[in-house]
Amino acid sequence: MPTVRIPAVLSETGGSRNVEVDGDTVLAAVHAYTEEYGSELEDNVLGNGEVKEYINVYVNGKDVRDIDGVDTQVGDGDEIRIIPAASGG
Amino acid sequence: MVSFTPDAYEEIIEHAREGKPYEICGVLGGRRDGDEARVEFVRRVENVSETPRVNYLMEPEDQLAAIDDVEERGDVVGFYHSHPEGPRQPSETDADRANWPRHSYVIVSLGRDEPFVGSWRWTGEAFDDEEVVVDSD
Repeated sequence: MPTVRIPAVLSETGGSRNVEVDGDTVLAAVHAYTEEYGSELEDNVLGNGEVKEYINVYVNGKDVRDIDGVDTQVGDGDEIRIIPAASGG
Repeated sequence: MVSFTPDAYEEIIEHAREGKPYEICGVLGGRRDGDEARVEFVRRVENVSETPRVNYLMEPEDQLAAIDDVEERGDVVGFYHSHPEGPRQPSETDADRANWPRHSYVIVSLGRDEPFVGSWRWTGEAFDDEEVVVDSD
């Protein structure tokens, strides 16, 4: 199973989290996470079926926008890491 | 309140001066305990905004690497960026794009006077002004 790793700011428990979930794509993994832990992560990360503009999602350190987006394939041992972008004016 | 070691404080000001007239940015590392935070070191991150005089956007891979670096040594206290020509306060764009609740957003404002370092904690809805102090040790 892949692992989802998120910082405290995206965790409803207020702590960083590193958990194994089912799913063979990033989207399926996020859905599996939602079923287990609630919709907060999905609400923060996905919009219109895509990764939101100021959210970055990596699989094994590679930005999924440079792969297949939320359809990027994942498998055993893969790490899905979600990091809010830091930006402003 | 957010406190800085003298080296960390000087580093963000020096970074802002080097980057002028463009905005610079980075990750603040150290310790956080509730409302109290101490910045012990900083990690510069490349600004890849297409309008770097008035905006910053951390290069995603560099931001990820910076957070990894910081987390190996402590907590991500927050982020810093510069306003090369002011103002001292967060801009509307800063508020629109802030998405790290409970973290400090530090702004180094250069303007015409001496550099000003201010900090605001993002509540998830608004910026709360917080005191900035420099440790004596």
